[in-house]
Amino acid sequence: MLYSENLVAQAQQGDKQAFNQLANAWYPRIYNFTYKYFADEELAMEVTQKTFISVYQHFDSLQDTEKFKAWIYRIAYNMCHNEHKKNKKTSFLGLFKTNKDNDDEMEYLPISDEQNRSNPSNYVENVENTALLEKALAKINPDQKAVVIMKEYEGLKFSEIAEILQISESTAKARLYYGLDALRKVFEGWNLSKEQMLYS
Amino acid sequence: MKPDKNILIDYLYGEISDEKRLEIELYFSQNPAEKVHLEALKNTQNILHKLKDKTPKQPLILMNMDNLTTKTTTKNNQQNSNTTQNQPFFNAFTRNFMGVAACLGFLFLSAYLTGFSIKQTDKGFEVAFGRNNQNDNQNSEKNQQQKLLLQPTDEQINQIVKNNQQKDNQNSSQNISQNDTKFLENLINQKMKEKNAYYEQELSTLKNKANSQNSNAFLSSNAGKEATFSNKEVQEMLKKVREEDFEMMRGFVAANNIQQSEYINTAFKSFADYWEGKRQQDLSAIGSSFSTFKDEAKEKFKENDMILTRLTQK
Repeated sequence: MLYSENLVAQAQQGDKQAFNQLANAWYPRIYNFTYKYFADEELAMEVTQKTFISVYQHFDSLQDTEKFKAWIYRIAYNMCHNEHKKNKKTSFLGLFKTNKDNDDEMEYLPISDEQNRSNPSNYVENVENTALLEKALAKINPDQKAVVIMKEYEGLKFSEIAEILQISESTAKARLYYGLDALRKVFEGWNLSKEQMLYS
Repeated sequence: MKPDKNILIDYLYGEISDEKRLEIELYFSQNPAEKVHLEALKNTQNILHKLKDKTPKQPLILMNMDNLTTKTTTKNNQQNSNTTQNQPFFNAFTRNFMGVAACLGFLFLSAYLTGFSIKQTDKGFEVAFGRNNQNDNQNSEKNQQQKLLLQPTDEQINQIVKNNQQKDNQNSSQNISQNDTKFLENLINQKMKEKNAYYEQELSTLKNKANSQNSNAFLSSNAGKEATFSNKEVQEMLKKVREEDFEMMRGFVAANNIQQSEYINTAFKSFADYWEGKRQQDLSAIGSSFSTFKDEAKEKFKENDMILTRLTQK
C-alpha cells in the first residue's frame, strides 16, 4: 500500500510534510506509468511533475480519500493524453521527424558501471529487450496502451481502470484485448517469441 | 460456446470463476485453432512481463509550493489564480506570435534580397527573382546609344554626352575613384571645346565662300537676309560633323574601356594579394597548432611512461 487514508487527509488539509511523503511514495509509480506511455525519460519526468503539481492544486476536488489511487492515475492519464495531443500537433507542424518517430533507429539505455561489472552481457540483453518492448508499446493505440500499462504494470483492477478512464469495465477489457492483440502482431512482425525474450 | 473478448481477458488474468474457467478450457480443447490465438496472447503477456520498472534518475522536484495555490486559496484570490492560469497561454501566444512575425520578417527580407517580384502583366501573372527591370533599362539605354551612334545629330550627341556624364556620376557613386571621373569629365570638356571651335571655323569659312561666290545683284536683292547654302554643301557639312562626332564617341568609349580594364586589373591584384596573405596566415596558424599538439603529445607520453615505471616498481 503506497499511502494511508490519514496521510491523504492530512495532505488534503494542507500539511506539506504529508504531501511530500505522499508524493515521494507515489513518484516512482507515476513516473513508470508516464515513462511506459511515452518511452521518453524527459517527457515522463515533465508529465510526472505536472501530475504532482496538479494533485497539489486540486486536492480539494478529491472527495473520497479511499479513491486517491484512481484519482491520481486519472490525473496522470489526463496529463499523458494532453501531452500526446500536444506532441501530435507539434510533430504535424514540424518539418523533420524526430529520432523517436524513426522506426529504423533504436534508442538504447545507458549502462551504469555497477551493472556493467556484475553481468555486462545480461545487462546489455536486458537493455535491448527493454528498448524493444518500449518500442512495441509506442506502436499501439494510446487508449489501448494506457489500459495495457495500467493492467500489466500498475496491477490495477478492471473496475479501477474503468473509473480512471471513465469508461465501462467491458470497454476497458475490450481495449486490453485489442491492445494485447496489436502487441502480438508487432512481436510476430519482429519474429520475437517468448523463448527469445526469456532465454536472452 | 465461444467465449467473448471480455471473458477471454478475464480468463487470461485469472479473474474468473472456476466453473467458467473449466467451460473455457473445454471449449479450447475442442477448438485447437482458437487455442493457438489464446496461446499467442499469453505469450504476448509473458513478453510484456520482461519490461521492468525504471528507477527515476532524479528526485521529484516540485517548484516552490507556496506559489502553487490550492483551490481553496484560488477561490479566495481569483485574481492571482487567473494570472497563474493565464501565464502559460500568454507565453504560448507570445511565442507563437513572435515565431510568425520572425518568419514573415525573414520572408520579406529574403524577398528583398533576391529581388522577388509579383506582377500582373498583359501576358498574365508574373513571378520573378533578381533585378531584371534594371537590366532591361540598361539594355534599352545601350540600344538607344547604339542607334544614336549610327545616326547622330547635335541634339543626340548632347544627349549621349549627358548620359555618359550621368553614367559616370553613377559609377563614381559605385566606388569608382574621383580621379577617374575627373579625367573623363576633362576629356569630354576638351572634346566639346574642340568641336565647338571646329564648328565656328567651318561656319565662318562657308560664310566667306558663299559671300564671294554670290553676285552683287543677288546680294542687293536679298539684302538684310543671312547667307544661304546649297543642299550639297549642307550635306557635306553634316557628313563631316557626323564623322567628327563618331570619332569623338569612339574616343570616349576607348578611353572608358582602358580605364575599366585598369580598375579590374588593380581589383584582381589586390584580391589575389589579400587571398595570399590569408592563406599564409592560415598556414602559419595550422603549423603552430600542430607544433603545440606535438609538444603536448610528447609530454603526455612522458607522463604515461613515468606512471608505468612507477606502477612496475610497485
